[in-house]
Order: sequence, then C-alpha cells, then structure tokens
Amino acid sequence: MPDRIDGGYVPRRGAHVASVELDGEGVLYDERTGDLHLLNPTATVLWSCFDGAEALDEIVATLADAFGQPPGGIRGDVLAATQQLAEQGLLDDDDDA
Amino acid sequence: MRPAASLGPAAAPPVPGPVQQTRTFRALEHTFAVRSNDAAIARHVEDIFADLTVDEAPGGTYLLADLGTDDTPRFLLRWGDEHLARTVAPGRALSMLQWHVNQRAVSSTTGHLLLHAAAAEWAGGALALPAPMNAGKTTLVAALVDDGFGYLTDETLALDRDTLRVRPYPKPLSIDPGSREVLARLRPDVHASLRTTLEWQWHVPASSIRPGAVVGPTPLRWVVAPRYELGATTRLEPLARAEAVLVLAGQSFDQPLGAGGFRALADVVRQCACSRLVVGDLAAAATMIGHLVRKGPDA
Repeated sequence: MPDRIDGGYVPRRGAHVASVELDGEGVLYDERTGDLHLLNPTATVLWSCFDGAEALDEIVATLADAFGQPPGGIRGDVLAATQQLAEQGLLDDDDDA
Repeated sequence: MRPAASLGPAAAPPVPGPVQQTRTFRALEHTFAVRSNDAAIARHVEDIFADLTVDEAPGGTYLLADLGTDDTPRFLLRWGDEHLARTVAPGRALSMLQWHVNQRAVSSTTGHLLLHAAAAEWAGGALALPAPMNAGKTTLVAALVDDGFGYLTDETLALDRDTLRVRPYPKPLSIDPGSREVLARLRPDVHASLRTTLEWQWHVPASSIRPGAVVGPTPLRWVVAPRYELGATTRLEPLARAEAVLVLAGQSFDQPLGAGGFRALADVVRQCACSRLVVGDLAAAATMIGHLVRKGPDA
C-alpha cells in the first residue's frame, strides 16, 4: 500500500471485506477486525469501481462522465475517499494479491 | 458456542423436607425444570414461566430451596451440580434463576442470530426493538402487548438464519422498579410468603397481561430502535436501512458477527421499515408504534 494514494493507484476491494448495498448506501464488514463501515451513496459508487482493473485517474474520468462533471472537480474527493478506505484496511494491498 | 456463567460444582447442603418438581419449560434450546422444597416457590415458578411450558422431559433441573436456617443466606439456587447463588431473600434467588435461564438460552441456541432486542407482533409481522440494557425495551413491549400486540420476547430476539423469522422466546417480562409506576396494573399477585419478591424484579408472563398474547414464528417487518430520554418529546424518526444494519449488529450476542451473520442481518433489514424512536412518554410511544404498524411495512 503506497504511503500516499495518487492517480496511478489501482484500488481493489479487500478479499476480507463483505459488502452489501441497501437503498444506495453501502455497509462493509471487515472479517479481520469485525468492524462495520457505513458508506454514503458516493462512496458506495466508488467502492463498486474498485475491481483492481483500473487506476484511479481512469475511475475519476468514468465517474465524471457519469455525473456530468469535469474530472478536476471530483478528483480530490475520490483520492481522499480512497486514502481513507486504504487507511481503514479495507483495500487489498500488493501483499494480498 | 457462547459461554454460560457458573461458579462451578460444589457439594450441595442438605435440603429439608420433600422436594417437588415443576413442569418442563423451554427457553429457546434450553429446557429445564425447577425443584423446590417450598410449595409457594414451586407454584410461583410455574406461574412466571407459564408461557414457556412444554410437554417434554427437561434437559436439566434447577434446585431453588429454602434451607430454613436463621443466620445464613437461606435460599439456595443450583443448576445440576453447579452452585449458582445463596441469598437472603427469595426474590433475589428468583431473579438469579431468570438470569441464568437467559444465559443458558443464549449459550445453548445455534442456527440463530441472537440480538439484544424486544419484539412484538402485529398482523403477522414482527417488530424488533433493539437497544442496550435499561433503554426501556421491556416497558415498551409490555405496553404494546397491553395494546393488543402479540408477544415474542422482551430481551433476546432469536432470528432463524434460514427462514429469517423471529423465533418466539416468550420469557416472563422482567419489570424493574423504575418502570413500576407506569406499569402499575401489571403488578403480579404472589403468595404472602413471597411478597418480598416484589421488591426485586416483577416477573410477569405475557399471558397474564393479555390471554393469547404469545405468538408463533413471525417474519420481521419493522425495526424500531428505542431510546428513552426523560422529558423529551416522543418522536419517530426515519432510520436508513444501512444504518439499521449497524444498529442490529451492535446488539448481536455474537461478537464478532461473522460475514454470514452480517449478510443475514442485511437480508432481513431489506424486508423491514426502519425507524428510531425517542421515548419521553410511554403511552405516546406505544401510540406512535401502533400508527406505524397500521400503515403497513411498505409505507
């Protein structure tokens, strides 16, 4: 896991994390810690994009297009949200691959 | 398996007089009978556990005996060979019995999600009231039963993992001193020798509040998370289903919950209407819940 998440980072949902979506909001269950995490609708959409196939800049471009916004307008929020999920141990890092 | 508490095996003191045994009672997967040398205690146990009576042999027996000594705690409570308590007052021993029955019900029961929640039934749908201790669950569910709701439990909600139905655990409602004023009409009638038990908890079977109140397995349709707040305006507030999963998970007896338990909770919440309830006045709270369920779970 890089110290600082940037646009080239390829996020992947942690294999140890179970997730459900209810009325557009996600709930994550970390099997390692037993902790639950509540995601707002935007973070829920972001979580669904973390399939290990695209770098963050590509995800930003896709989401910007879907929301009708310029990529620069959402890039900071996407990086910050990803950093938070990584710090909470919810993403797979290279050692888990 | 969830651990059950005990003080371990110990030699039993001699019990004076003949000992009689009650019928068998079932608390989820914990079946038991109670033996006593005091006829009034035996009859009282039959009365308070009336809604748990089953026609089968018990898995074990408690002994709740009056040792009749003058200068030591005289009421003895044992579970098989295990010493549980020795108390000055019969009411304390009866409360310990109820506590141990609940502990064994939780530790013995598998195949279910067990939540710290009360539950009532309306028109074939179950309403869960998840909350920590002293949040007013028993008081609220007693008021609902009095208002015509069916009774499922006042403390331990058992959700079948396969069917997602609430399995009834119609234990006697354990009414603490703080709730007696608002539930004064539920004061139990007890034998003169047991009047001091009323200083402890009141143990009130739901069938004594309203005959026929106990219902069968019921699908969960509403989650209402209560919170008692002195002087507050009683109000019902929407609770997002995602947040309701966290509320229920926080009241699970299984910690950690496990991925299977997590998904089961999410599946059951999908079929529920969810709310938070701030309780300032019991009657108002019961009325609000009545309006909620009459709208139906999809409203």
